[in-house]
Amino acid sequence: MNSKSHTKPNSLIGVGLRHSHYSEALSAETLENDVLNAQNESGTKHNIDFVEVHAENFFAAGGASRALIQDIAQAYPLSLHGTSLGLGSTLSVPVDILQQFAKLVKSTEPILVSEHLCFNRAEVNGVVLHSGDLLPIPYNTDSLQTIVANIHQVQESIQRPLLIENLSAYITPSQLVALTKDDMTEFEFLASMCEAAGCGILLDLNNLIINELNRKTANPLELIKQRLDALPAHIVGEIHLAGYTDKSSASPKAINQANQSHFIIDDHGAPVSQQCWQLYQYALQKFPGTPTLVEWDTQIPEWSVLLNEADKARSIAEQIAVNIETPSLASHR
Amino acid sequence: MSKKDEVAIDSSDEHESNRLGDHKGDPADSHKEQPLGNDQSNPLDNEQGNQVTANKAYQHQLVAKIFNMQPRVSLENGTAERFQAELETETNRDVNDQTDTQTNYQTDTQNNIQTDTQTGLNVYTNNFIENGIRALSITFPTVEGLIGEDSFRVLSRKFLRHEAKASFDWAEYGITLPTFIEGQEALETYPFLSEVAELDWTIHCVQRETDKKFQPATFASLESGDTNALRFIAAPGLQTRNFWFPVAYLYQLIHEPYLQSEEGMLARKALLKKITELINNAINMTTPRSLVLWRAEYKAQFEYVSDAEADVIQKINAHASVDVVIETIGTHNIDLVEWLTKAISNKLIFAVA
Repeated sequence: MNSKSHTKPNSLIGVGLRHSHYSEALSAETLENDVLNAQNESGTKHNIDFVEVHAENFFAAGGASRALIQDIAQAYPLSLHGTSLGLGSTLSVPVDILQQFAKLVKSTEPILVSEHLCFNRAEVNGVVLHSGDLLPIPYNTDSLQTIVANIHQVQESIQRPLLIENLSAYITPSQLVALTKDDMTEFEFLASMCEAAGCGILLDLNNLIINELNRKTANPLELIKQRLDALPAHIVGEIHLAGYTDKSSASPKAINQANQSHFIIDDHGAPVSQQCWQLYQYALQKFPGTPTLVEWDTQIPEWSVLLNEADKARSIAEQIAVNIETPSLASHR
Repeated sequence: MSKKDEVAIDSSDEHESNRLGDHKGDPADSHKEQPLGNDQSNPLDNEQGNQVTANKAYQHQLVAKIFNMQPRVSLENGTAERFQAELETETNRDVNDQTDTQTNYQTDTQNNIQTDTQTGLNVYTNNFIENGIRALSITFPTVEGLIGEDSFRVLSRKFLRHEAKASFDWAEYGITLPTFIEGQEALETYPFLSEVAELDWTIHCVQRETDKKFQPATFASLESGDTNALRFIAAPGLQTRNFWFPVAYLYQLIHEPYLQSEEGMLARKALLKKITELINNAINMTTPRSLVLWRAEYKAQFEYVSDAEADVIQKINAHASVDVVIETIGTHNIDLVEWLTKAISNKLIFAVA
């Protein structure tokens, strides 16, 4: 499969659409607002070009959520973001879950379909348990074979390539089992995975930043930039931007969630961080024209605040598009 | 965290990486790995085989730790335990290999790794708990409304520890909460809470039922068709449930917007009085009350029905013929035309086929 031709539309800017914004995002006022709907260069009518929803929120066999996803798909180009397939799991993806996922893809015809570089389940005492979380996998040959096989299975089912998102992680597998040694770096793993599975990467810049901050890396952005430099440009199909709660200003509940630890928690609970904007500017020069999504999942702000974040992303994208030679940009479109 | 600690962590990452690199080419280490693979096979195959087992052991351990479960020896030949022992052996070997100064440094590093591992695990466990509480509050909003957010968090935490998550989707988690509530001594002052949880769960499931198309024109066939061959097509999720306590009024108390407003204070007080009486009367009731639930559009609906009406609905759900349903209606002396008109207008039944 050619991931580039299927997963990289023109430079589109989107936002994560969550429950608290459904009404506003789908209101007649929003959809008919001339200012909001000014046509951009790609001819899209909204000031956001697409919205991302979490696939599992629309897995119900029927009812309001089924109707809602159709309304959303009619109003906006859609990115379908899976969070439960756990493609790195050594246990295979159950057929019924895959069917639900494929059915949703088929019925909504999203412009992008993505999942995560993670596992989420294991058999414990004879029962398959689901963590409901995105858990890190070792970057070794066996993990690669496992996830490639699972990605193939999903892609066959949905008849299109996936984008796989890099993870924020709070443990390294070898901390639990020493022999789960990495035999490649995260980016080497991602590149090999894309080559073998024909998928692309959903590059989550916030996750990269959080991982380095939690590792206490001295110059996290410089290190990440070096890694981005080594990443084949053609495999990056989407970029995620987000912020994280600064514990110095967090609520007691948020601090509790962070478990009084020194870890920064990837809670998507704040505006896109300054570091993330800086990295975005750099990343877009490496991967021009890449669809970009702003995520904000906890302590969710007003819809207009989220749209402002999308506007910032668009300004950066447009500025970089102007600065980049036209042939280079065109090659990505 | 001190600057020294930060340096130690940085160094630990690097050291871990180097150690793993050394591990690959160290004959002693190769020898150590042999029992896990086939002695006669290609060393690369051995390594791959070890990775397969190690990756499985890791996923098994991490999930078990998140659920705070002690895994039984379920992997072949006690693999998980052996890996743990090897991890400890390697740690000891690494420490012993250092000079005195380095040993102190390394010990600090290992302590930091262990602390980091536990802290990292705590993040995942905490995420599981918080996600679970949020999911349960969506599925059981009336329970949360009745006992308050703080008590609901306590209840949810206990339940999440008690009932491991075996479903992919959080929306499918919680079916046993009503039974779990029954066993909670701290909730004895809420004797109705288990039934309220059952109502919440049923509503939640009804609202996720497969859609059906309402086809009023098909009811014309009741006059011209073979009613012995015809069946009523029930609304999505149509069912009856029996409750001893006034769960429908408790639901109303929590969810009806007017009752939450200042203007609705008097009405709320009156409803509370009625609920209190019904709860007290529940002890003396000989049979529970029937509640019918269904989905006409997107929202689940429910209302109390007589035992006779419940019997009719059960016949429809059992796919009895129209003849049998009509006979049941006659047996209970229910007005057929009135019942049918109401059932169609309320979209309790969607079609005849």
